[in-house]
Amino acid sequence: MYNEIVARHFMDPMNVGELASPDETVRIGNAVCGDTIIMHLALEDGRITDVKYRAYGCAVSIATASIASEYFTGKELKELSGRSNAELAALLGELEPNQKHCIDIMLELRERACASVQGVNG
Amino acid sequence: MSSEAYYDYNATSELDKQVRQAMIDSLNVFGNPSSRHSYGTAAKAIVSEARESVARLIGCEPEAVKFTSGGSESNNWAIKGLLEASGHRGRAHLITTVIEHPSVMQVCAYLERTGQAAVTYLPVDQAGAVSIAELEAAIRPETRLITMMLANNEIGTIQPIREAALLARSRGILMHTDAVQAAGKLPIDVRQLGVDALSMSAHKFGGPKGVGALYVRPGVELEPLIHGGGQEFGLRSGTENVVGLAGLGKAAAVLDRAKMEAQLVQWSKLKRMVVNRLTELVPDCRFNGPVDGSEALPNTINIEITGIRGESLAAYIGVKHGAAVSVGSACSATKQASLSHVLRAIGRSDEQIRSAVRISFGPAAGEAEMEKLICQLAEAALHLRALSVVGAV
Repeated sequence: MYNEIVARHFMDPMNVGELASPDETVRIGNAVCGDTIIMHLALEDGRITDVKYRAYGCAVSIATASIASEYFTGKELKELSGRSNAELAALLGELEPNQKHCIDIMLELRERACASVQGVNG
Repeated sequence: MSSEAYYDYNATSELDKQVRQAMIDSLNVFGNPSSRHSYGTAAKAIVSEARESVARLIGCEPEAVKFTSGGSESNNWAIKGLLEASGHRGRAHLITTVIEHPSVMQVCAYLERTGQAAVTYLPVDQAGAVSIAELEAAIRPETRLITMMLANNEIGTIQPIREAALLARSRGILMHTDAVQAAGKLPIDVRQLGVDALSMSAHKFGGPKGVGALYVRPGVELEPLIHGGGQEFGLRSGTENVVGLAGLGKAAAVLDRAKMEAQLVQWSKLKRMVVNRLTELVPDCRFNGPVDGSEALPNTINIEITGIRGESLAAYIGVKHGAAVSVGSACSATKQASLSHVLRAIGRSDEQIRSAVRISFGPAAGEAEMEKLICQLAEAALHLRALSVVGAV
């Protein structure tokens, strides 16, 4: 079953869509399970000012994209990259064993978002 | 729990009210059916009555019905027990299909692994049906057994069991059918079917879980499953599951051919309605298995909706409406292993399998209830497609 956080974000996801001219596009695809997330980021002075995404996958992976988009928005990249894996995993609430691969999705979203920005920052 | 939003009857059915009562009544009968005193006689009467009811349901003599713990045991026993008793020397050959239940597939794998048998897995066409010509071509001089399911649990396809059984009989080969999904839904007459053995399970048609039966045609040798005190005609020892058998017996007794035929007519009508309405409301949806006629179980609808995960669709209607359907692929870390082998066998790709859901309804299904489900599915599809990567970004 789905925890309350996952159920809320899956049933009513935040920030769905695309940005007209994203500063960065993060694409995550899991070859094994087929989950795909395409996330657009708007950046200003090392800060994420807007996030939009499209997601195809299981309920928890869709919820993960929504939770990530909400969490990333307004964060400085340095701050985001400094967050611990445990802290990011906790955002998804308690997951069943077969849902835990979505923690990897969350961590990969963060890593890619921050990597792209570090590139921008030179 | 209410069964109001339950559309997963091929997984299991709710207990019929009369069945529940029969089981409750049987709890007062505590004697051992093997005892000769009145306590034992009362328990024995429940077991005998159950055997008679099951025999009536499938058209055989009561002695041909052996009770088991359910479909998986019946399948295991039939395949191993018939093969072992058939007196083959050396490595036997058996024929099955690629869309059988795991309780058949895994027994075949076991027999191959242990060198007891070579197994031919017959392919199926896009509708999930086996070709009798291909079956005939697969027969070898050392073929001892053909095991083929009567109706498929995922897509509902009904196999040509009568033709297969005739062919088997003419070649001196034993024929077993896994009728777990068909029994209690389709009228079955084992004499007309011509099979040597048939598996069934109570909980698929209003009975309790943990009890089932194996029909074995009189005269056909079957190796005992459990050696001991000699219950079940010396073939499956152990004190009988009297409460379970009270339930199985009642579940069989409340059904008759006329009732099942009327139910099939109603289900066929509902299936046509669901297929037509979903085709109208959900663009790019596709149905797996035969949609019309007598080629499939009419209570079973397998639908793929492009661009959406079946798991998400099921989750959405589950969370929002409490509706229960089944999915073609379970979400897990080892997803490759969990994709439906049945959908793969009819040629669906990994992506298509991931987008499949199965709706299977029960005896109480009506038009209003199905219309509600159709709207819930269409709404979920609309919601999930709006999020989806497919066709966007």
